[in-house]
Amino acid sequence: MSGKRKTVFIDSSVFFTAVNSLTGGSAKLFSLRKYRLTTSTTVLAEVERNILKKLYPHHLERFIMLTNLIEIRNRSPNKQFIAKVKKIIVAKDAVILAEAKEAKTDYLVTLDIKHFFTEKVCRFLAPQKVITPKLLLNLKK
Amino acid sequence: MTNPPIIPITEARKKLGNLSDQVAINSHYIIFTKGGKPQTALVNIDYFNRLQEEVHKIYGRTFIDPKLLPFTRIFSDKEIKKWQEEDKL
Repeated sequence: MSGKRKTVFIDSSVFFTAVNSLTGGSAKLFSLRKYRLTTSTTVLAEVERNILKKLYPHHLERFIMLTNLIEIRNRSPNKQFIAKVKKIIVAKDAVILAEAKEAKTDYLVTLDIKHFFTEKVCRFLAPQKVITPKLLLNLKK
Repeated sequence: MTNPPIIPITEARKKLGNLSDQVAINSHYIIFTKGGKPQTALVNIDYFNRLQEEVHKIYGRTFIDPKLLPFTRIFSDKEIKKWQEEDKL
């Protein structure tokens, strides 16, 4: 493969949906070799917690399988940075945005249009880009 | 597998000994409801032990870390549905 693979930070909405639905864009992302997927242990803890609460045992098996396809950043959340990020985005999404920024990936992929696709967030993340799985898949074409 | 018996807790209180025998012999578990909603279950001990072994085998690996839990939240059903809609290709 020529050139460096673009890096993508997967947020909780995308990881959870990839586990929940086999046919959507989120699941398809995990099959692409063009991108290097990464996420944080916080995202994985959140997704696993929600699988246990909202989905079925077989989803947990799929979750574990998907974690084998992704690079995992094992760092404790930076509380000071998260506090700053709360001025950029609603508190519930501040941890994810902070971790995505720190990961310095090319893209932050999310399904949360309402909170992440804002001018404020885009300016904060630049040069990283916020994108949905569907849009990222279309970039491939 | 047939649906497990579901009994209101008020009814179960009166015949807990019988229900325990019933679970031990005939069924895996009985669900108790309170205010019409499932709340607890009476589980056959062998079945419970088998379940624990299976769970341990399958889910030995976990990312749930007590230190990270304060940074996580439970998703609402509404947002899960919205994400699925947005994810459709």
